[in-house]
Amino acid sequence: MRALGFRVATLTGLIVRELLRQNVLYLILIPAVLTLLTLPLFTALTFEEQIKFTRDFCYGTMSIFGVFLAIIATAQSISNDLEQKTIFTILAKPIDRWEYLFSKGLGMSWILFLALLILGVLSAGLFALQEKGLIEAAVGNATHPLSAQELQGLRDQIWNPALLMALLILYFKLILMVGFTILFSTVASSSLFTIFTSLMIYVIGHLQSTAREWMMSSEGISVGMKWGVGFMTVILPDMSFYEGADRILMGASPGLSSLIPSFGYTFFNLFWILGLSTWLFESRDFR
Amino acid sequence: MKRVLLILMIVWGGGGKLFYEGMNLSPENKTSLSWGNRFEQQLICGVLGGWRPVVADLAWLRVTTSWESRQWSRLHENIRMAVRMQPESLLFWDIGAWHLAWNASLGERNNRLESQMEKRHERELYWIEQGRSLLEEGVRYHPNHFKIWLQLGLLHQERRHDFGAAYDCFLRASHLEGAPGYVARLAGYALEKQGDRARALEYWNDLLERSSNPADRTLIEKRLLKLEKDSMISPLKPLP
Repeated sequence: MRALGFRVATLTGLIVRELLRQNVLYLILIPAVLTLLTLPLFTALTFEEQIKFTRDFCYGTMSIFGVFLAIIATAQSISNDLEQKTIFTILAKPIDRWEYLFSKGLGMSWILFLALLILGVLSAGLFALQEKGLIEAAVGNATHPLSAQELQGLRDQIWNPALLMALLILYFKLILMVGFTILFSTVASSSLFTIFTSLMIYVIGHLQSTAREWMMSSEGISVGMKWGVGFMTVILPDMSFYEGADRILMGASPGLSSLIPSFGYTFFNLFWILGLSTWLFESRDFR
Repeated sequence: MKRVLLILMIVWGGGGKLFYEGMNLSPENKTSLSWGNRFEQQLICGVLGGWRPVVADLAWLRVTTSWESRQWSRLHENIRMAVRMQPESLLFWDIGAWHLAWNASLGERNNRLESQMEKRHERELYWIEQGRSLLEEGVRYHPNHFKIWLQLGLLHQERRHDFGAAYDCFLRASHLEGAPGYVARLAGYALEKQGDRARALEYWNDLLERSSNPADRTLIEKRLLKLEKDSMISPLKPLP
């Protein structure tokens, strides 16, 4: 067991180093940082609107660039190993194929963690920069002098600790997309195919829950249609599990237990994805 | 042996996935929206990803500029765009309806470029109805949020002078979580304005029994006293 842990840790370390050397990481991360830096240009808003916009903008940037990073970097990484024949060197060692895939996922999770950390810290900095101006504007617009409690209330609106939970939910979502990208990489011969299929899965995943409910509640649907939607339900991810982040952005402050659905859903999905990916990867013949 | 393990992994993980998805189908997760609306929302979510709220915010920025330049049709378009992109935001429904039923309609009433008063009045009513329609759509998205019901009640009361509808909305809002005490009192005032003294008295007495907040009770008692005193002078008449 210790040997297995050592092998996975070593491989993960190597994969993280390889991912850090990939241009695609910087090609996605730098525009994300530049996008965040344009935030101070949007200032002609009221207190409530400005807070909402800042949250939406920072979270939106992290979400969209995070999804691109999760899909493109993962697809590129496995495809590079296949094209450059690095896979032969790796698999020639006493490393199981599932260990290789698992380490890829783990390495990518580290990279995503780092990317979200960088973007998160930058967003916090932008929040801090706006805080003073927003409070001053709120005090200026108030019809009466604000008490210390009211001022604290304004600060709490800006620094809602639940925003960290929204980031965590986004992180689970990105890890799930890494899982699906690895699954497609095990059968695809080009990274482009993997990227497009994964992006499609991401888009269709948002429709999954509504399609499922429609199938369960509608009458008079043909058997073929029911089977089609049923098959889609089994295979596709349900992105509505990650909608908790949207509610937090709207100002909700749920308890830590609200993370359970998104965490549990990601965990179970990764389990079957790893099983199926290993199966497909095992049956793949490298020449 | 390995194959069996892999099958077990797929079955266990897939089972867990389906179990969670089954839990997500519980009745409390269902909304009163049509399938078409729900598919549309989910598709926007999928295509725009994390940018959906940002697109909504940018449309909202244009709402403010349209309001400042008194371009009411553009204002309406941008409000529609914002609520379509992010219907979860109460702010868009609430302030959007206020823009339409108050700012746009009063803007039309005071529009000096239009010489015919009839046309002005027609346009004024048009925007009030647009505001009402927006809020009625909003309550379908947020049936359990008092703010939208409250705003709809205010619109019926202040802009349409439909006190019966206003009473229904205030009453509904007052029973929802987080509704402040004044919302329940607004329902009583609406009944009074409607001219239904018997119902108003009954309502205020009922509210007094239910209310535990001393400040609320004092206000209700004052209102009851005033109603009783007024009823000795003259019968209540509905407001014109």
